[in-house]
Amino acid sequence: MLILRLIFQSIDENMFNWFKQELPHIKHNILSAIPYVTINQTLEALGLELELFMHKFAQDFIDGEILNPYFKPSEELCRCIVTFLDTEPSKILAIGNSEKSDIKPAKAVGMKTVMVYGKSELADVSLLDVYQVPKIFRI
Amino acid sequence: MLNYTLSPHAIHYIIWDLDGTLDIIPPNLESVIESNYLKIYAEKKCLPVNDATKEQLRQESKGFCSRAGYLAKIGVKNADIKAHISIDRRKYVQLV
Repeated sequence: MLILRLIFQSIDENMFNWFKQELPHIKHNILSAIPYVTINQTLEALGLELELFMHKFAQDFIDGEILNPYFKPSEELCRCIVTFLDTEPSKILAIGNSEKSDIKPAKAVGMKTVMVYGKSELADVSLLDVYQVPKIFRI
Repeated sequence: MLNYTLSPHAIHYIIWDLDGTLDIIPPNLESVIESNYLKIYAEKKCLPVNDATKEQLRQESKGFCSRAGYLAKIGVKNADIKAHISIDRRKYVQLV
């Protein structure tokens, strides 16, 4: 199993180099309903360097240090993120696969939204998968 | 061709949902996932990868919300399960 993990834990060049190269001024963040420790384990298993992400909003902690009082999905959590990032919500793009959990709360606080792996009338745009995300940016 | 575009300078932050967006493969590859879960299960139980083992996995994982949940229950590390899934994502990309 360890050998398999070593093989599989390489960066997916089709998508994940994009995190580093295409839009260097955009700060990437993670939002998840799982604990902070598990987020890091998952990112490592996917071959994503933890440093690629500015903040990680987990079920229990923000960045492993600040107690997160809100649960996903909730508008309060999205408001907390806007406050935490100290920016206008329209400058935040939320990307998710669930209209109820990801798109609706983000849209409610004014974030731009992208639905992947499905269609959403609420989202600004729906895409076939995460690999289509770079195409929405006029570079 | 997408009819929706954003100026990259209009967006300062991206919030990526991890749960089902970055961490799993598209639903149309469920059969591939199942195949990989079978391999993980067979390896864990020291069984051959065949229909009998597949049926055994199906029976044992009844009542669990997912095969992954069952595999975690029998001691397969979550990260190992995710690792198997991530390789399938790359196969998917090659297909499209």
